[in-house]
Amino acid sequence: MKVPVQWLKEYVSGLPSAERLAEILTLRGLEVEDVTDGLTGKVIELELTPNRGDCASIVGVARETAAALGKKIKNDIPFKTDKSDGEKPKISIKNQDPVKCPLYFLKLITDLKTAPSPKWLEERLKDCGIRPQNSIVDITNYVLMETGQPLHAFDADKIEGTEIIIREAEKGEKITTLDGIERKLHGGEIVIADRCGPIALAGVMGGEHTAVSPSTGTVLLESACFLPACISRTESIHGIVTESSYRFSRGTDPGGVKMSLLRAAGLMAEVCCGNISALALEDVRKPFTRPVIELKPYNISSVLGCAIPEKDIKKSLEELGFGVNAKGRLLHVEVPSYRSDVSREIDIIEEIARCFGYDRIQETMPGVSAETDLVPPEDILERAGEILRGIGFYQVLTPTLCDGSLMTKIYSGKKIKPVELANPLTGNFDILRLDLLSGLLKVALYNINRNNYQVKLYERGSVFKKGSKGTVENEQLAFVEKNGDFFAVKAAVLGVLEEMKQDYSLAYGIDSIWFEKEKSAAVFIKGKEAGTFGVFKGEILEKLDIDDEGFSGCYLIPELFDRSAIEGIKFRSWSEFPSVYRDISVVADVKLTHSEIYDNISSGGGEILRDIRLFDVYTGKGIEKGLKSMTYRLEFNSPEGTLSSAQVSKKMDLIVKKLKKDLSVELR
Amino acid sequence: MTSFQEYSAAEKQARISIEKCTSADELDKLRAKYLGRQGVLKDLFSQMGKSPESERPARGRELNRIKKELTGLLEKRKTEFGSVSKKEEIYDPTLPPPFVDKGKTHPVIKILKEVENIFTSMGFGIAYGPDIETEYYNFTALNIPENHPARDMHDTFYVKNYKNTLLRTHTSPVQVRVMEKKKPPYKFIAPGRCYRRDTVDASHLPVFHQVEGLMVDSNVTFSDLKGVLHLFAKRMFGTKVKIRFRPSFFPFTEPSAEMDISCGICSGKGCPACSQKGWLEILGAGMVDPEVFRYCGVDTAKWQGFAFGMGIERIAMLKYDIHDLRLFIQNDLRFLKQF
Repeated sequence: MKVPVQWLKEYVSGLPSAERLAEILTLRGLEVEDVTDGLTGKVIELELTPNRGDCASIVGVARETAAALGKKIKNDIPFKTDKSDGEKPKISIKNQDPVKCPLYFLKLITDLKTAPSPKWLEERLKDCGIRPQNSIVDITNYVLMETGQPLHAFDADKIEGTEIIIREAEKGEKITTLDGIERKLHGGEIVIADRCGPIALAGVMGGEHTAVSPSTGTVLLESACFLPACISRTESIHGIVTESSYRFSRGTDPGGVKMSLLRAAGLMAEVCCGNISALALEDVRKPFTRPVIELKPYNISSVLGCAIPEKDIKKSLEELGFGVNAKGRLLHVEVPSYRSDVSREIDIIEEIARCFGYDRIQETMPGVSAETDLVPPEDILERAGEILRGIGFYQVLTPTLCDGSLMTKIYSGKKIKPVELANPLTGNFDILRLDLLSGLLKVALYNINRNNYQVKLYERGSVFKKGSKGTVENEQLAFVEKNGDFFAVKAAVLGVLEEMKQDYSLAYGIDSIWFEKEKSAAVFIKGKEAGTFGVFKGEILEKLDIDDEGFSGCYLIPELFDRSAIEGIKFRSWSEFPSVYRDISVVADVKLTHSEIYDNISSGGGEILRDIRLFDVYTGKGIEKGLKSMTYRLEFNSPEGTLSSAQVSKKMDLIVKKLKKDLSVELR
Repeated sequence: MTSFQEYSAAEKQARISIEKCTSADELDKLRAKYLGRQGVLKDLFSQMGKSPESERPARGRELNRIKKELTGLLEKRKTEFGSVSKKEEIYDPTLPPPFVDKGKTHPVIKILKEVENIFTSMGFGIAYGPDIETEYYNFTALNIPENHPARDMHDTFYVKNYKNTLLRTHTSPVQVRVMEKKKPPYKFIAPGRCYRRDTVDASHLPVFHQVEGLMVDSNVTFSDLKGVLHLFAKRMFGTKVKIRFRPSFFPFTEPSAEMDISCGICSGKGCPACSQKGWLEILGAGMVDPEVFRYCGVDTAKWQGFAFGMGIERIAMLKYDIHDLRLFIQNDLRFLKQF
């Protein structure tokens, strides 16, 4: 809402500077977005909250301004009273939906001469952000801005028949509105109709056919009150918000309907030399009575934590136009017609707090019971984050919304059930993500294209799919590294699993849409697959338009991790006795894996074998083709005492024999 | 068996050799000769075992004294040679160290954790809820009826094939879920992702993060709300920060307020960062509307409280002087490395 200060001055005298006024209004809850220079002087731009439809008018802002400054509003909007010329009404109102339209007024104005509006009127409209058209339309807009009451002028000569009908639209009915768009009605919208059908989408926009044109001589001027929810619904069905619908959907002042009509009629007589006929039709189904709300002064301090003197309470409310009557220890507060947002005691308390000034309410710390059982458990995944950052991974956040067609490409052949949006903005954001890896690869590509180094990225966040009972959201942890081979990602995965104290097993060479079979593995925890890792397949990178190779990655499903392993961490003492180290070099078939040799040594070594570390793998000169040399350092230790050389040698013999017997592995 | 005289002879000889010594290399050899593993002193110590038990403490003391003095002497001479050898070997400490990869937390998560830490330190718990919500929890139970302009404040993504299902536009539905299940008092925050149907630009993201808070007890007041949020602002933005509360409107609170902090760039004088206002809006808050309590089955005669909500990206922008929200989702390493 744009408020020209010069116009505001007609209602409140002695205004401070526009900038100061902007601050005062902001602190009263009418947030000022900007103060600009208009044609008539300074213009204050308000960002109104949805509850303050009453301030979508000069008079409304004037009331609030006057109250803030402790002044009285000059409450004399000039309007001419009816003068009767004895003409019999040819038109009647037929209100078929008095619930949605409790008040409806019409006035006939004849002998109009439309022309451009006078300069003062055009300038004020322009400063309010409204484009001047012709004097009739301009006057309806002028009064709308002034009083907040939407008006509509029909070209009376174009109305068919003698009845103005207010009714619900029927499904499939059509109306071409002023903006030239033919709208198919949904059914249930309120329309104003004549004999031939709808002539206005009530409260939102008039019809094109009965619109005022430069040749219009007679106007039927409408001023009404419509049910806010009904107008709001029409707005959302047809996707339009107009100056009128904006106000109706927020609630207009039932006390101003007739006065605004007379004000506009008066202006038309003055500006367009019109003749106000006596034809004033009224359909008043629900006369307005000021609601009375009971206010317990005690509740003010119990909500605000601050006592406000009763005389201040009365003064603030009265300045805002509320009536206040003491009834014993209670106050009876009468709500003015323009404040449809105030209907409960708490609303009154807010008004009082607002006038008192939020800044004057002291600050305290709550003395509440200490109890809260919403203490979050340890964020075990943060342990993984710590490890990943420590080895150089950056945390990223990718949008949970992604491109459905890309997902179809990535998961081609797989049955996927993404959660789709009913009203996506673009195709790039039409489903909820199924994985983190594709987003991470895209971020990797983005960084590679910008020559950023150290492209090591991780993300933790939800992935989504359709389940048998509605949608399913799960947290995942994933990471991607450029120039990382299989062992780089394996190191990261093992680092994470060890830090999270998981008892895991790995299965190598898995079938995955993401990873090359021979450079992939799955992580099993308690028999369930809790993630996979490996080197990305070329075809996956291609699908993501990555013209590059050498990416490794991993995703883990923390839900399947064993929390108790972390929560149950206990200190374990170490042996006080020195360890004995022995190196062992063996020659084995190249097809034999490290893990087979490791397991064999491990089972041969028994309890005193504490650690087996592979530190050299060698093929080439001195080693027969088809064989490889592997060197391990074994650590022996006993908590019971220092191991003798003989004890360890005995164990070593056993290990060597077992290797030979089980795996045909020879000492080098 | 060695006598004490032999001890002093060995000491004397060692002293003379060390004094006469002319290079660091020679000094190292002398150190090995006298104090090394197979050195003279070690030898004397080991022979001590053969002496009568009554003499051993005295011999031990003497040998330790000699060891200490020779060590001191060696150190002293070493420093003399040290300065000489430095001249010979050029050591460039300005060379770069080996490159070490170091990863970082995303700035939005960093701020989110900071907000969580501030409130948990004030005794707040944490509650979570799903991204995919129902209209009831996201709107209806929060006193945002259908066909009400307040719903227009939230451009909403709806989920296909599921009735009345949407992506939550704020984390307030978590409040409703907790209140439905548990009896007051409550004191918790609800962090999480939210969605609005906005096209990506410098000041809009369709997916962003929020933290909502709720405190309900028999006598929690608006002045408590001010106290708690002022403390929050001080811890987040520094003790010098000024705050102000402005009346505002949210369907789920009454009275409602918005909290501004003084602009850190111009200290409240007005600058382009704060659109010349001197103040920056950081959060919305208010006393929980009785309608919300009614929906959640909380007795308004016994309980009252406050709620607040803030955008994490917004706070990160203010704290780090970032002017384009898109930076948060681009994940450019040049950006991520800075915080």
